[in-house]
Amino acid sequence: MFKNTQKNKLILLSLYHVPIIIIAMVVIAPILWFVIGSLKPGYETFSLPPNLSPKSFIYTNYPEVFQRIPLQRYFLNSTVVMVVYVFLALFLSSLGGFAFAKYNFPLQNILFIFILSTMMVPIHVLLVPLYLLMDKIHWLDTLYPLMIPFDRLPMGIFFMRQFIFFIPLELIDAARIDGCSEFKIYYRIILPICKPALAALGIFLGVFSWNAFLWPLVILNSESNYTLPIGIANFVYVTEQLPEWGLIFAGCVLSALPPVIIFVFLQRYFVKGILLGSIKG
Amino acid sequence: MLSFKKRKIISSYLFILPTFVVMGIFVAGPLLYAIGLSLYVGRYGKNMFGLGNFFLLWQDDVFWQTFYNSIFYVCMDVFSRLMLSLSLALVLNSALTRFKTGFRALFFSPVLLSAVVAATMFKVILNYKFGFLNYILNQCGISSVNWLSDSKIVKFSVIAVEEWRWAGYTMIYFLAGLQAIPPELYEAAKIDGANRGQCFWSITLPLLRPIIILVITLSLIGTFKLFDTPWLLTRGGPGYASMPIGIFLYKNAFVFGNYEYGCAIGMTLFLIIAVVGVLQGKIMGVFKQYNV
Repeated sequence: MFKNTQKNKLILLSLYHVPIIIIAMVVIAPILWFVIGSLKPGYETFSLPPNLSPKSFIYTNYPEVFQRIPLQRYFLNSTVVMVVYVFLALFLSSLGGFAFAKYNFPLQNILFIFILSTMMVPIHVLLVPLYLLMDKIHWLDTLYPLMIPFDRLPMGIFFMRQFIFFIPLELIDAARIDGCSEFKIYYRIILPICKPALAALGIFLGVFSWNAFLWPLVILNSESNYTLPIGIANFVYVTEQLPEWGLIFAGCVLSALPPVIIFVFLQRYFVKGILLGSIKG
Repeated sequence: MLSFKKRKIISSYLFILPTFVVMGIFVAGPLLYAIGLSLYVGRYGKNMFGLGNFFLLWQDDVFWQTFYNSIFYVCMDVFSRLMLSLSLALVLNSALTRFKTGFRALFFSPVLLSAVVAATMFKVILNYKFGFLNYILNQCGISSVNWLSDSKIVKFSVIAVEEWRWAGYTMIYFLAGLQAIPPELYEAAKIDGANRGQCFWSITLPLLRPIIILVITLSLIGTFKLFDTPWLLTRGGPGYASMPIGIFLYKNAFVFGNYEYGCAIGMTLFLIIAVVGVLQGKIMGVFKQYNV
């Protein structure tokens, strides 16, 4: 009887995992599909039953997609936008969070509520006036508007404020006694302590900026200024009737790599970040 | 030398100054501009300002179709997201599950993909003639379904893609909440003779309440802003079947060039979100618990 119970437990455990594995397959199947699709010639994308043997894989889609669309240009644009966006967002969020967390100044509460309330404004409302405004200052069809973190700044300030709130005041006062200017306190004391929060926020914003679609769609016109999502969407739109999906998939895989790589190496900070933000409510 | 107190106050204002400049130029100012534009009717007649755009909107059948679509999306999304992410989190939190970290990363991975990549993948998979999904269904004896071209089914396809993309994200919220529940509570309940179901309904769910409210709020407000997935899958088609208000706004403002009408649509969307947000907050007691 003893052996049976052990075996039974194992069987039940495996059965329990079957639905989980099915769900996992549903989640990963599309991803696998297009990674494999990028390794096949275009005319085989839609062939059924799908030919999955590694022998039929080709690798020419990857170099070829660089010739069909200016993919390096798109990568460059997306990277520049992301770096500036994250830097500005982290800098302003931590500065603002520091001010709201550790200082007392007139109108503090009203100003904070004002910033929070801007979170309620959906970006759709701002699309038209911002478009017209960017046109007036000749920023239309440039990358500059994409670098301004106006959409996530309130959330960033809220997040950093929560975090900085728990830094002991003694540290700051000690620095003041030693003659530090306020900005030096920010730079030398607050920033280093905030590294985990900054990392989490930075990853979140970086991925968000890399994948952003609607705002760049409105602002950008010429192909040489496209960010990756816009460039690939355009490529799909132009070539979807042709049997060249292998190239499209190759482009998609390449564009999805940076967030995945960043995430794989830094995922502890990311999950920590969501926990930091949500539990303290 | 400034007094200590004055130095602190000036510094704090300087620290928040750049933020206010950015928000003023990119949010507050444009919001006022949008209100003004939405009231500008000079295009149609002699009056410069009036509610003409809003009257046009009220009579626009396409708007009401997109309004209905958006409400549909929101209801479906809130419901599905809650079910899916809570279930996934429960599974990943259970003592029975092996390879937790692996599954967690797997379920979360679609969050890292851009809407373009996700929509492109599903465009191929959901294709009527050559798509992988219909192929599998055919192998099982089910006839092909027109996932993206049937106006009755396309909205479900959009929601399915959205859930595929985001369920893993809200799952992490629930995971955090589940792990914050002290295990002693379950032990005490089991000593008192509670079974699994009672543990769930009386301990787990009440303690997850703040996160459930958060997830509902996020999905509610987020889905009203839906644009990327339906745009990339079907451009809002067939006809207007899958078009949410966001695409309707984009088309009118940037494809047809009718900026004032677009602003009116935007204002209406803002109003809808505000009303729904406040209603939801009142119903769920958000405002009672919130502490700035």
